[in-house]
Amino acid sequence: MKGKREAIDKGEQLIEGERTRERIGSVFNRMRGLNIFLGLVVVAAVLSVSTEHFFTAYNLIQMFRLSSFVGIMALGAVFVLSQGDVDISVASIYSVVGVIAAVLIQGGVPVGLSVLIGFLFGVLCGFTNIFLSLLFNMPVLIITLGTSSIFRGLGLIISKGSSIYEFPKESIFFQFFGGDIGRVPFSIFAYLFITFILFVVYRHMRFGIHVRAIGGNRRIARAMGIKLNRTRIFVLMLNGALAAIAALLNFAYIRSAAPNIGRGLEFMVIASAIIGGTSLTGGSGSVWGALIGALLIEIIRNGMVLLGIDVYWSPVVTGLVIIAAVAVDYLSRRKRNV
Amino acid sequence: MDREVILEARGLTKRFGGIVANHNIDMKLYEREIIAIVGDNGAGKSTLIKAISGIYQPEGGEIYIRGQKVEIHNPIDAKSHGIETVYQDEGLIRLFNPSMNLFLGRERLRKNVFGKLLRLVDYRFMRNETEKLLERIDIRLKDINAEVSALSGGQRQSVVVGRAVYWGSKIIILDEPTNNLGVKEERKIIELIKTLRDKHDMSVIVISHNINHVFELVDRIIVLRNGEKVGERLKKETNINEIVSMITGVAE
Repeated sequence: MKGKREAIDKGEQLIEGERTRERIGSVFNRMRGLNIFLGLVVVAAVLSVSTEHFFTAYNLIQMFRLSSFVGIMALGAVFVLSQGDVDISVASIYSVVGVIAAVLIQGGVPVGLSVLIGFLFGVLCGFTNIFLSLLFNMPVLIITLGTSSIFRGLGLIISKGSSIYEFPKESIFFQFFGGDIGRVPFSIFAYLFITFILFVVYRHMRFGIHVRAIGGNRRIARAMGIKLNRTRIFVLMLNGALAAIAALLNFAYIRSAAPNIGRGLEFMVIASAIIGGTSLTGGSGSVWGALIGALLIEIIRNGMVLLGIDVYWSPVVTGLVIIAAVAVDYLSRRKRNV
Repeated sequence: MDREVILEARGLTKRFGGIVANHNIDMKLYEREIIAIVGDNGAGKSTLIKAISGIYQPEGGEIYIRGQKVEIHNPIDAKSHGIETVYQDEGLIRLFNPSMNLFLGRERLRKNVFGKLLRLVDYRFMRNETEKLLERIDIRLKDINAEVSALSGGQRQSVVVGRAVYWGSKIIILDEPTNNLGVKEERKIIELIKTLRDKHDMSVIVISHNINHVFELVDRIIVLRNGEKVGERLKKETNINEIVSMITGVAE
């Protein structure tokens, strides 16, 4: 009888332990999205007070514009990371797409067609990544280690290694896509529109749930009848398409293309997604978070310039923010035992 | 017994290289019946349920559902025949809440144009259904929107079992349902399994090492040893000693 009593007590203790874990888990869960937004507000508030030029319409718009290229690619990274893959070739896709469109235009191909071909090439790059991954049964990360070099190399070959500029200014592409609406660059509108669409896809479409399920647990996702390959192929193609859109918006705005642009940008892209609450190990993420993450990185860089800190410190600070973001994700996962 | 046979396996044989994990196993499961498959480690229990639930492809033998021969090539085939399997590692996505797990792969779309064209899911419907289901199987969660990783082991088991109930499975296979649970949770799961038979007209196959739980829960016991079926007994016609000696192969 005594033994039975002890067993029940032990059971109660175990259950109490579970409850504590339960509380920690749900608090962490609710905080994650909010943290980053509060961080952004605090940094922006500090910079508004401490510098003269931070809180001006021009500076805010320019920061947002500059963050939009990394941001658009970070939206893709939210999907890719959520399904448990990592794609580090986006910066190379970003460079080669711009080069292809630029070279075609200079070769006399109509602007619209050149841009379309550039876009489709970006989608093809994304498809190549997942195709090779499935073919050799290797992680996308490993494949893109190689393809990132290949894509950038193609840009170098096509452009013969030099920048390309001087385009017909009267083209609608440069006038409209590279222009402003009021005082706001078109790329900002495009960025916000794409973010909203992808938010709906990620949060409210069946597809978005399946993407997260695959990253949450691939084996269970398959057992529940989710079409694994089809979903992963589509996500990697989407990722290529977003890198292409970022490249083309940038190309329209600066009216030049170069095979060397965007070197190292892939890590900013992944960092933006992770800072925004997307898990590096898959299963969960936030589309709006990626937008805020990209903006935060840009604000830190901008703020350091305005504060007169040597710009070479900005990658160091960005790196620290990335480590903090990954640490939060990792610790919250370990606490929740997932 | 006047009840219908809902599941029958005839001559199931599964080899792994030179090792025969299941040799020519026959078994039957009746409607509204709970049976246990018991045996020592390596006796072939897991192999047998994995063959029935479509994870392994047996080299020989047939499976019948209500007398009809069926082909089960994968877990989705098994589900479509109404066989749901609950493993020790639970089969839930831990980052998802119970509602998303309940509907995973079968999400409810909104009934309007957005649902048809954009395949937008109806979260509210799914949450309401989950609440109703949990009430029906008498499971109370503090926060129904919390992710599954925040639930206790017993609650997670209950969610998986609930999923089988919700989708109208007629056969549920439970692999070590009371492992790693606290005492109270053990009771809860045992009561839930009995409810499946008594209220939801389901048939249950339980694999368990806990011979006490087996005797409390089941109607019939099938004993495997070294990949072969060494016998089966109705619970009311046997006792723990007999079953243990069948498992070990040592006569009393």
